[in-house]
Amino acid sequence: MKRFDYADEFISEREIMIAVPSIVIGVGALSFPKSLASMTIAADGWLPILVGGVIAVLITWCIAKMSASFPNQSFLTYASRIVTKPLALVLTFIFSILSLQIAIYQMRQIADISKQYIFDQTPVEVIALVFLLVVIYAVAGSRVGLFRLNALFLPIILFILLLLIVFSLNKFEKEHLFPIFETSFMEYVKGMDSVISSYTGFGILWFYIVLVKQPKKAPKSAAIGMCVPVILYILIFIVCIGVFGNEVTRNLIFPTVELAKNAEIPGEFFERFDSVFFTIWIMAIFNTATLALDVSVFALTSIFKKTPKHKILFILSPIVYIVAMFPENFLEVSTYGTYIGYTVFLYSIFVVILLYTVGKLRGVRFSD
Amino acid sequence: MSRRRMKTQRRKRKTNNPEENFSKILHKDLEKNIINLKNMLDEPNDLVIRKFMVGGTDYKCAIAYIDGLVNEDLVYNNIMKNVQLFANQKQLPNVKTELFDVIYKRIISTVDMDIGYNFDDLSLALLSGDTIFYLDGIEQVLITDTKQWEARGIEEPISETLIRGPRDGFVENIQTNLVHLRRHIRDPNLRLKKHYIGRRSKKTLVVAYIDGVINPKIVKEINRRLKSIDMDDAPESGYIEQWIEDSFLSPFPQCLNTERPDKVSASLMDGKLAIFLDGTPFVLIFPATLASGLQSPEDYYERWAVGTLLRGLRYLAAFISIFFPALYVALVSYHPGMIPPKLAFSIAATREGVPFPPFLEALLMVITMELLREAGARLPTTIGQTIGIVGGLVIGESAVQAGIVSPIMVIVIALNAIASFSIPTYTLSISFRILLFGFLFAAAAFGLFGIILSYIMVNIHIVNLKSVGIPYSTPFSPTFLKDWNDLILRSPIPTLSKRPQYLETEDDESGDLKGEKQ
Amino acid sequence: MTKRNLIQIIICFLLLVLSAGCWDQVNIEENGFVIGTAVDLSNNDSDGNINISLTNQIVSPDELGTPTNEGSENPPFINLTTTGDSIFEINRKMLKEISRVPFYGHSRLVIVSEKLAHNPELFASMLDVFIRDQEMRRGIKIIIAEGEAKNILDIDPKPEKLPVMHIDMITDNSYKSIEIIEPVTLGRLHDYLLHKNSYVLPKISINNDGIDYSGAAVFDGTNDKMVGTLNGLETKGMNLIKGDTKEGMIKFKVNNHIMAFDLERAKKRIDIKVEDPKNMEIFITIKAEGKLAEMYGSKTLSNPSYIKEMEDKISKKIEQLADLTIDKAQKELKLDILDIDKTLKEKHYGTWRKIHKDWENKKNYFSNSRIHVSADVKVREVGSTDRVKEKEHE
Repeated sequence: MKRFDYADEFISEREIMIAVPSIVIGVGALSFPKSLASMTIAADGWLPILVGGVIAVLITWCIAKMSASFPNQSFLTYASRIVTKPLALVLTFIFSILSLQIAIYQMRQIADISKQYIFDQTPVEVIALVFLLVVIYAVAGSRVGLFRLNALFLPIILFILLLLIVFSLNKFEKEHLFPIFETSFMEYVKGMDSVISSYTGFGILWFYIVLVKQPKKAPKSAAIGMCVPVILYILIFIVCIGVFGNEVTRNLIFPTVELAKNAEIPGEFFERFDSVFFTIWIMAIFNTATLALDVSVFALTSIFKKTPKHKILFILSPIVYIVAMFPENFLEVSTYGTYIGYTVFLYSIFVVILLYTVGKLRGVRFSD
Repeated sequence: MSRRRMKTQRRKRKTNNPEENFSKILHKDLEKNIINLKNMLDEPNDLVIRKFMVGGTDYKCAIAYIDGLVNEDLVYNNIMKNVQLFANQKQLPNVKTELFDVIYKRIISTVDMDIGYNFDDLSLALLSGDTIFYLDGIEQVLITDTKQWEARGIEEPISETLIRGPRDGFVENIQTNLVHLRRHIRDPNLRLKKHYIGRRSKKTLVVAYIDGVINPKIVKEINRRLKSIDMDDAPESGYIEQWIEDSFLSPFPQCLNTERPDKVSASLMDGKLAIFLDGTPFVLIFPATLASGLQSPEDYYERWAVGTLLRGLRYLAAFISIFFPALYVALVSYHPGMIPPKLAFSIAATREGVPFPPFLEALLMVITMELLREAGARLPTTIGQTIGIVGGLVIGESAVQAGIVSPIMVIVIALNAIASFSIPTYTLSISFRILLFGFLFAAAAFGLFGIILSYIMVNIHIVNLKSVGIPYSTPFSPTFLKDWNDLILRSPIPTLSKRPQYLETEDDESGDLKGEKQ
Repeated sequence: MTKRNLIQIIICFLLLVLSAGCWDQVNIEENGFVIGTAVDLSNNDSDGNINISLTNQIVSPDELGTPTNEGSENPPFINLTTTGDSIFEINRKMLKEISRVPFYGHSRLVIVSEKLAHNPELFASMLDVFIRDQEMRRGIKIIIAEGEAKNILDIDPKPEKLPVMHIDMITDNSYKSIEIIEPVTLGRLHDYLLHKNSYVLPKISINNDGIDYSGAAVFDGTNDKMVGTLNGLETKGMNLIKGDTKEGMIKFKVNNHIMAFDLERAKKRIDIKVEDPKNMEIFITIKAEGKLAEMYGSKTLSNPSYIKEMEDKISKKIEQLADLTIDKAQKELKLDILDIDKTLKEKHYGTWRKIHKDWENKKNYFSNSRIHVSADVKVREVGSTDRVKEKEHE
């Protein structure tokens, strides 16, 4: 019955279930309908979302299962047991770099979109800096604190998304959804391509499962958690197409925010929903950025055991800021995002397969 | 730090001084003892020492007490009279030690009596209102409980008035307060653990909890923290609170304080712990969470639908008292597009001619509001009301007429003030006022973006904050869904058959929905 | 160590906030709220470039008054006209002419003059800034004006206070009339502009005692140029075929008595025979329901055959209206304003893929197709009375 002990630093499997959608839902949800709509016909894009989602859920489950089969061992420890220490160090280091890049990308995007939707004159550098300071403040706190933050924010995020969908329904035209299944196979594959980069983030499981008290239950909850963004993405996509039509969707840079701009609030209480929606969405992006930065710090602390967490964080933060200011325009940022999305996704798959096959070949026991 | 060290040094010097080193032990000689006592207290004029003979013998004895702290009837009827008169009728032993024993067991007839062996026992007892009985030739004294002094009667607490609920409140006397508690909880497992706080004041502090309900780790931690307290005096329980709280940087109160016995007993039943301090009616309740600060005992006294609505209203009040002026400033200076057109035009029209930007306007009004509140609190009730009228009418109306603030800003601030008054926990409502300023600055600098980032920062702080090891943000997060039936929703009383899970109580059932358990 | 760091961070943050913030702060009363815009074509300048003149209706809130304080006699708005060759440039120019910063967040209408709309490409390019700018909302309505657009912003708005609000409310009430098309928002127009299909926009004009909001302007989708207009009757026919109408009135005659049928629900169904693309047959079925709203003459309505007769008459009338519009679309405009193309895409995607480029142009499959309309009308209610006057001799 005991859920947590006095001054506990462990998390429950439910918190894993919340953390997974928290990191996955981020900037990607604002822009993915654009790229997906441009690959597919009418609303056919839901199929790639679903297929990509199922793959993502499977990988999530695999990662959680593999991590959970080494209870109370960090990624570095069990990876060293399977593929020798030097290689494990390299793997961990790459993870750290990749999650750092996710944090960088999220931060840059939030600054750009904020500038576009709520500011006009304020420089991107300042917006990003303010956001980064808050992220650092969160990461500098306790690690369980982050999971609690996720649990506080995720319901609000889901609620505002639901509200967005409900408010958009009266502009929904079902004619926009037709014809169905006219997209060719190659276009589906290309569509899946563009979806996959919005599904990244489940790599955090490699590191966080060790904090779970009952790791055996973790794979199931992680998989359930991963289903949340899949369902949400399908809903967002269909509503976008239903409201705008395929042609307009593929020409909007952030279709989801435009959806909010288009939404009508009954009672004219607020005139514009997009500012409200985007303001709340900052929480989602904050969740993604903090978890990504924290995983990066976590991975590095497992490599440099003697350096304290705060020191690593304070070394990383300026790097995050400087790299985030690197891309010059919108196009570069989104290319950067797609590239990171891919790399992280593929790298996760690669590590799963590598660890599993090498583990089997060398006969390392995966305890259940 | 350094000041404390100096104090300790001074104390050490004092005790080393041979002249002031009254012998800690009691002498056989009565006179010597009395001189020692007088020396120690420097012969105050409220010290009464009465020497007399034990009835029918030649043994000298004396009683000593502090005038005003004791019930003199009791001293006369049960001590002096008995020793002087009734002793006559009995066959008294000749040996002094035996005589002392007889007096202790047979003659003095007070309820609470003890034997003191040294001056430390004696002085503490004397100064707490006990009467000391000396018998010549004995190195011990009798300490009889004769405490009684003028005290305030029991009244309804002013700081927490309810429409429905018991009308009694705690008073300054800890004994009376514990009696209150005993009358609410007749559980043999109710534990009242005594501590003495204050180097010089030696105040009684009682930690109350129900054994078998409370998580023992909380008791252990509280006791550990109480033992660490080292200061001269604790005039109010606020000193204790600030000494043992988890984070002194936090704007949030990490324990609740109350004057209501019903609230304390309900908290103990939930598996919390209460700290009583002598000399103050305010009792501390540990641990506290953010949600518990927004609850009032009345939620349970009214029917569940009413209770639920009130809770919802309070969360709304909390929202308004933190965000409202900041949101107004953000909307008016950064996002006029979010305001419906007719309202936007109307705000623009009323702001026409106001010399300050909305942020300064809001700051001005909020500070005025705080001044009014502070002035009202310091003044007697009747004048306090006048201040309200002066503030409301003169400042509100004239400021608008003079064009210093816009009428809509007055509405915003007024609503904000009302909301902050409707939060049941005063300390929490004050911390919300502190946050309000932060949000106002953030809104002035970055509009909605600033507000949401500040909100995130407050959340980060809350999830990292703990009250005696219990996360401050629970049961929202870490989530205890089963506790949500008594969070914003207040389920019907029969369904509230479980104690809060977040407290990790030893006995988690407080009742049974199906009726009496066999 | 960490505590000191924390304090440092907090100090930095505060400094940053206090010194660096406030870039975007514009106090609400410093905004010039633009609630409507009229775009006209002005004379070409010396270089032969086309010049646009933009008129913004800017609210002056002070004159508008608050509930307690009635506004003054002056009109509560300013119409500001500036000329230039890009909208963005015009906006910047406007800053020099008015003390307030134009703010488009509350904009309701964009009125475009016919003359400008007749210019190929210009119409779309002009609207670009309205769609691109973040301040603009996708709910802004686009209306085509006969004559000068800016004159429409000068009408007497009684009982409203602002001309734009007056027009805005009139367009909102259009669902009650079948002769008016539903207002087209910027968001929808974005969709239109991205497609090659032709589309219609509502039209407005000034008559003696106010504005006249009726009819529609037809645009060619390939170059987004206005090519023609529909009058009230034609609009009615188009609305019936497109099924856009929710309510509307249809007048018909039975035995020379004028009757009015109040349409409450209309559903359309389009079936296309695509075997021979060059000679397609299109069947449009309109199912309408409604009630009898007004009746001249005094025949009893309790007779089922009489109701049947009425229903037939109404069906005839609807078919007649539809044919009128189809004729105009196929013969005169040669444009598919009826959105039959959409049905083709939904139901016969393969055929649509092959022919959609030539649907309205070149080979013009649309004009060559044969369209059959049939209507099926049900009179559900007759009102609260059977007859109002006594039976006459017939």
